[in-house]
Amino acid sequence: MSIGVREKAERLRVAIREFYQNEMPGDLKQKSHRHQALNKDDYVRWMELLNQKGWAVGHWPKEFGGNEWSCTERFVFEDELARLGCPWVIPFGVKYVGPVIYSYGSEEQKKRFLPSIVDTSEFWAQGYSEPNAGSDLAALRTRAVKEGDHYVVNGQKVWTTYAQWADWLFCLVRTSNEGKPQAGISFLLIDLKSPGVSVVPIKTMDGYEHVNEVWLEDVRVPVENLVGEEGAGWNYAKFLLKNERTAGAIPGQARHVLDRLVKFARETRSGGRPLIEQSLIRQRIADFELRFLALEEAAYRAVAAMDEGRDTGAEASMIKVRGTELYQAVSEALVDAMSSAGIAFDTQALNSFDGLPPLGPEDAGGILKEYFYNRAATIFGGSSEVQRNIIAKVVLGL
Amino acid sequence: MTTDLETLSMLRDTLNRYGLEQYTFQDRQRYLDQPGGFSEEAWDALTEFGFLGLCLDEVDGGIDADATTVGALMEVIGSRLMQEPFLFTAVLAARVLKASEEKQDYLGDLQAGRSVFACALDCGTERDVTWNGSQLSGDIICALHGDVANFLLAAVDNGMGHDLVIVDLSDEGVKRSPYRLVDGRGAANIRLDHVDCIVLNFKDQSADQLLDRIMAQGAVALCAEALGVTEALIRQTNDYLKVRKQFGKPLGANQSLQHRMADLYMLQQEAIALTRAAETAIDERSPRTETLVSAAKAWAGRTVQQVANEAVQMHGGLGITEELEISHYFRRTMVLNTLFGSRDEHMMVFARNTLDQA
Repeated sequence: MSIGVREKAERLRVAIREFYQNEMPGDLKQKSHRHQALNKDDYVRWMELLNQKGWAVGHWPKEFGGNEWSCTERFVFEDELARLGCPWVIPFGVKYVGPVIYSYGSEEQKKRFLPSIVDTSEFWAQGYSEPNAGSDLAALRTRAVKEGDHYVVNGQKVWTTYAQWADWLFCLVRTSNEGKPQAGISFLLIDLKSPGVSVVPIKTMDGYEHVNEVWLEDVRVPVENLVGEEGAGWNYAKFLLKNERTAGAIPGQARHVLDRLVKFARETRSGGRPLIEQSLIRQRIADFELRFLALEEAAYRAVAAMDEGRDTGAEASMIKVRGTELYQAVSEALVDAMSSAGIAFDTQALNSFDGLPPLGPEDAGGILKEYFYNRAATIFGGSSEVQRNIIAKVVLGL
Repeated sequence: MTTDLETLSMLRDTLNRYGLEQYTFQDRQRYLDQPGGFSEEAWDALTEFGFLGLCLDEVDGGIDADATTVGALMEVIGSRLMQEPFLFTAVLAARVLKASEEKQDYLGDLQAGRSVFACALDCGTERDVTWNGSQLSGDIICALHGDVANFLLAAVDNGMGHDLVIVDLSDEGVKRSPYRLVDGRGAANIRLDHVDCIVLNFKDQSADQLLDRIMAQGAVALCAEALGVTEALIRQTNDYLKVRKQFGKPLGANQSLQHRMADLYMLQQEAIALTRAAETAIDERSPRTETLVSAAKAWAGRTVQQVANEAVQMHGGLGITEELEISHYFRRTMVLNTLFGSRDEHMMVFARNTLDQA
């Protein structure tokens, strides 16, 4: 049975490759090939393209515009885009808040929010982490106090990706201090144009401002923007985090940079021989290939288990840990192999950079930028430490 | 000649104190905007302390500082992420020049902080140059400090070995393409078009013998700098694990993190031991110098990389931000593992020395 699912998913993979070859606009291809910073318009255009193919919300139910993809199809979709080096499918609307709204939201919320998520006419950001609530998310302190038909929200969120472009923030807030920390959390949809919201960018070592602090000061949120029940936000958050961890893009990301490493090691000569023939590098790359193959087969096996409803709940954690650690290791090996070309950059210049790099291949700057930013891959979306805790608890019962 | 311990600790304390008072992380952030990505004031301070002449002989006003002493200073430089061209000018160029018959033309300005040297000794620079015995042409790539340097010290192939030559970078045949390295220090690709060079002459040794020694000293100085980076990262990460609370307890209360920190500590102790052994081998002109230097560079490189990766991971999102020091140490690590031979290159030298004995 699972073979049929996998074959169907592989047809989707072929369709994505054809789309990439024939329909992907050249400028988007080049920008993402060089890992140049994409602006909001680029992302909106990209999401619109995916939506035209019926892929942006392929995993959603048909009644809300989706294709009811299997977990395997969903995995293959994200995996193949990442392998090809396509722009990121920004997940906050289509992957995170959309499913929460159609699963737990009111009819009014579904009508109000789902269409603009499907066509990306509204942009979303995620208000989860706080300065003192990272891995320990339930320690969050942003307060929402009900006053008549509004909640008044005060607090600070951090690491909020692309909040500078977002229209809406789905936000975990504390509506009660009674009982366990998880019990007093609610899930609010906050209009970022509301008075009292301020967005402060955080610069990361790739010289870019992907992430922000979001300050909320006496922000008035209509009570109809509460999703589900007050105090039940932790359940929706867990549902969402599980979606965050399906992590389909992860093997593909590692594959993309591994392909780049292999190409670089074939094309670059040192001491008269291609790097790939040199014993230390050859063994290292072979080991990466082995790790990748194990990851890929484990990922297919995991999504098949999800499709058949016999997953343990720890599959996504395992794929994320293995995949992001491989992604980082391959990226480090590539920058290392680039030698001088791997250090010949001012990180501040990486994003304004438009011509040829001072040294090395034309995508040297992009390779470096990816290396810097992917240090965060083992931190966001549940750190590797948290994922290992989940595996130890859920599967091993420790 | 070995420097006595008292002198060594006095020099280290002087630089440490200066770093604490004048070279904080906030100071450094300002210095990054200055020409060359380093601080003119700090360079003047190093000059006033007499650090630029340390490696010179006593007759020339120095103390003939040994590799161990240079290492002690490089550790401070690493722990403070200092950007100034101390190593290339005051250690490598100074040691080459002081052995040359041409030293009088250069040492005065060098000691007074008036000249900065870039080096193309194969130190992370790949050379595509032609040398006809008096003129040099071709491209020198990724020369650290090459953006602001007055002189380039280059090792050039003369068919039978190497000549060590000085290029005056104000020569009209010199064209520089400057840029910044990932750690914010200046560098340049330098194009040379029939540039007249000064060929250095040495009395007691061949240029190749001196070059081998200088390369070893450069590599081991970077090991010491890596130890400084390692020490700062371990200290800051350890402090963070004690104060950062999640799930109602400090991060450091998690046994898995305690074990990872213990692993880093062990790597660090081994890196210190190997670096000290390599410095001593250089100072004592031991026949095992090449083996120990390659062992130290491979191990210190492995150590500082793992420590940098773990420091970022354990600081969480903060670890990748521009405003925290951690990410700056991470970027310096990349440079340390590229100049004077990568981890792989030193592993290959080590393997040859260890496994292929005649």
